[in-house]
Amino acid sequence: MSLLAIRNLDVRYGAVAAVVGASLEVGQGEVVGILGPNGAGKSTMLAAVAGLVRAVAGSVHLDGRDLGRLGPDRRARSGIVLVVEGRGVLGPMTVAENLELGAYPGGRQARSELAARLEEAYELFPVLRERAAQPAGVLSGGEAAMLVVARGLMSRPRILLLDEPALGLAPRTASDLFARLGELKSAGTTMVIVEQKAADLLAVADRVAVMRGGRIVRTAASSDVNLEDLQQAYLGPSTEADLAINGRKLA
Amino acid sequence: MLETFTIGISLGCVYGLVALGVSLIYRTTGVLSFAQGAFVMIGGMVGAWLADDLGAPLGIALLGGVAAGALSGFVLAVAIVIPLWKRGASPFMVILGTLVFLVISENLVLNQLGSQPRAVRAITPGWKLHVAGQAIESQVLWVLLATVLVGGALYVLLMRSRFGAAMRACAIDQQTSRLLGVSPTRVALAVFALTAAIGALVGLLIAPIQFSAYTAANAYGIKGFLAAVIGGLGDVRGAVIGGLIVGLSEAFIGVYVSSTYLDLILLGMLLAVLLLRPRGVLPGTKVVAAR
Repeated sequence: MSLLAIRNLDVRYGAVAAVVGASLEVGQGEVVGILGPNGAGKSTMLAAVAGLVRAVAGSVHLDGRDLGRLGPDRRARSGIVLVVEGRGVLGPMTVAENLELGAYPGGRQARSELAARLEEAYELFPVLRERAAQPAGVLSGGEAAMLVVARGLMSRPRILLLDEPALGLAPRTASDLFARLGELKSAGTTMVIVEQKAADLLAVADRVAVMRGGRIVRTAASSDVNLEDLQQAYLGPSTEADLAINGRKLA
Repeated sequence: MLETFTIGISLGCVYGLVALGVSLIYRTTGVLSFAQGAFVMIGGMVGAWLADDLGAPLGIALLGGVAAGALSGFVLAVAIVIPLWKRGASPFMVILGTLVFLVISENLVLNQLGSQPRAVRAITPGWKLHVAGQAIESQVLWVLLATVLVGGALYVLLMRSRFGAAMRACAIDQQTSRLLGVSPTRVALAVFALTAAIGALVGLLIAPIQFSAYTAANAYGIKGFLAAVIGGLGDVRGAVIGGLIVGLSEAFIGVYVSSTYLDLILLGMLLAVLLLRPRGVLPGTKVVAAR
């Protein structure tokens, strides 16, 4: 049985269908990437899984349990943690306080356990240790991105949803971040990652799902995805992005 | 002069703690509560009823008054504020809801405990502190001590506890807080109950100096709100300073300027602050709300 199951999910913003009949399964320890052009519904699908937006149809199951109409706080406490595009750093609080708050969904922990988790976060992103006592609002974009990922891990979530974690980062910083995500994958963390930078994503993800017009049009193992076709689809002259996997154009 | 000063300080502590409630609620939930004065009145009246009518020892009367206040705050959140939130009501409707709660509280207290002003026994009756040849009522010192202890306890709660961090997170960004597992509804319940309990404690401690009556809710509420605005709405430390400014102004204006026009002058101060310093009189204060 998969850890996360999204079944026939429909999300609408008024008259606009943002996600249409999306279905996706994610296994324990698996990393699934979601690709697609802007407006394809990738972020909305993650937001619906995290409970930030309400689906008009379909369901989300965690370990076989239908999450129904649970709000984002209860889903977080169930083990689904979303790291949102736009960072979500709590600026006036220090870096250490942000991290400690990340452990909130996991319930009350002993000081020693909290300290151990902080240590893990600092080992994963050493720059955060140097910045621990500083207000999170003064961090650079790259540091803030690392902080929200580390904070998302503090509660030991069942599944970590990452919505464009490298958005706006310099290429080198983005590569560093994905290298850390690779370490998390090796440690067995289950992740769903929405990302525009296909090359970075394909290096980490076991599988990718391609979305267009709110639908998941294809899922494939990362090793089967032809990067050149993807690049052509994003950078080509066609106004309608033509995504392709192994040379086959997607409908 | 010293007597006026001590009265001003004790009133200032009361208004400061009411303002602290107004600011803490505004900061963590975005709700502007006009019901905070009701909890001061409920604390004083219930405490006096327990001590005078039921013959309860002072400690039980104090505990009962604080519990009644906390329960009232919980009821305000559960019965009015949270249902209005869930129906997507505008901030104006929520403010109206808190005003309705204030009027209902006054009427319930009037009908159940009567219209006569009541006093709670002093904690150390008859004991006075003598300074420069003048006597200061011990109850004033209890009010001061309570203000310092409540302020310190709130600081520890906000800055050192897990739930305090959740409250601060809600004040900064409710969506991010929810993604971190923090329930704004639980935070609101706790904040309303906590600030109501503080208001009730204040009502109990000031009742031996200033009688409590069902009509007291408005006066404490308005002056607490004035203190919160002067200190910068949403600024917890500013609220206490604002309270001291209002309390001392009230005492000195009442004695040296005019007791007839006292309220008019204080409300004039409120208008002046709203027009000239809407972010409060303290340097660097910011208006911050969760919603």
